[in-house]
Amino acid sequence: MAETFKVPVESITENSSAENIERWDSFGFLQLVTDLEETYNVSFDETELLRMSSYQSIKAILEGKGIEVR
Amino acid sequence: MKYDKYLRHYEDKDWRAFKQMVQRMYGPRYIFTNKRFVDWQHRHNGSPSSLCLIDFAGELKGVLGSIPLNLNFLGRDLSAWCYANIRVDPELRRVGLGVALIEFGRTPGKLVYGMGHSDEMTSVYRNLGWRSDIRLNRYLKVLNTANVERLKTVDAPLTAERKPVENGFSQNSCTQVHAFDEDMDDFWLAVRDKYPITINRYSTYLNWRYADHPMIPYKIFVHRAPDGSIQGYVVVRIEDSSGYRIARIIDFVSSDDSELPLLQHVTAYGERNDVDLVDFFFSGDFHVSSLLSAGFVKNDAAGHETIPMLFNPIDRTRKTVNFAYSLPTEELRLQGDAPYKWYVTKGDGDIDRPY
Repeated sequence: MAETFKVPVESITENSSAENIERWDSFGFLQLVTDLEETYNVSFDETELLRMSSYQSIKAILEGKGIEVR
Repeated sequence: MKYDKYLRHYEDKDWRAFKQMVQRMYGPRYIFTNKRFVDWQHRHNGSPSSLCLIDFAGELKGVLGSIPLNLNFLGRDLSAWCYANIRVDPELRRVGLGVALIEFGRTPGKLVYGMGHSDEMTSVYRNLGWRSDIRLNRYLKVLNTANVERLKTVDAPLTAERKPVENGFSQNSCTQVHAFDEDMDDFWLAVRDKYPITINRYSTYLNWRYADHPMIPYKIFVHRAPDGSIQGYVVVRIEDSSGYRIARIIDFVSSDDSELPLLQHVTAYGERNDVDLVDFFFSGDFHVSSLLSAGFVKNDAAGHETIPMLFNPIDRTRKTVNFAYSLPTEELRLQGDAPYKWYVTKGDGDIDRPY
């Protein structure tokens, strides 16, 4: 996520979301989905895409797919 | 693109769901609920695929309507697309489906431009690498000062009209026509170098766009030289909204000598028909000298700047018409990335309608 949005890793916290990351706009989100799908070899369905609005929600969705998120 | 599975072209079987989406996203009476209009603009425009849809979780959630056009691009013909209408469910905008729709609707390698979009869309176009910082000029001529005074929100006078400059051609040579014939093709070939980048105004296009419009009865005035050859034309829509009658100049192409007679003719027509205000939106500096001679004033003049551009209902939030373009190759960018070379009017997209 830090790589996609070009911010320091330490700035990504449990509270990170589109509200507080400048580059998290529609373009940034599109890139994030692409990066996550390629990195973890997963895909997201419609419901998951709409839920992915914060670090916490993305982490929960990835963990639901059996992926451990640090 | 990751989202391709959610994007597709409109098909006839979509009409019912499409109309429901439009009513939900735009309002119950929006023009896209009229099948005649949709068919005319997006099904009978020479392309079978100029409406793109977002089909997300079994429901239509967004639309991109574009119009295929043939441009005069610095003396050569170039096919292009005008993005006339885009709307995406806000939730899906957040996840990037609006961006994906714009890219999906684009034919690779084709020049594309858009008009009348929101400021938010201006940012999206900019992020996609478009030139998006352009706004159309608006020139106005007030015919009924007492009535138009009531539209102002500032205490500044409406600028006095300039005395028109006479020239060689009389406005009496202007006539109203109801279709464009082949003489128009000859005229366009003779005049098109004056407009470096613009839609090719051949009769086929002009008839589709104005003469055969399914809903709007445009007034088309043509100016001829003494030998009968066409020297220019102007397309006007008369709008009666909110207690005002406005003459909108939608398209205007003319040889230099015929600019003023055509504008004077529109003014005289407006005066005879109780028009309060004439206005004209366009890009570049085309016809400005004649507009000023005919008594038009740019809308940055005191008194004119607060006259609304939308009258049905009166809406003071929209103050400009945004314009953006994307040139797909370095060669086109080198030649055409100069807003002053572009001549677009309200006739280019689908922003010319009173509803």
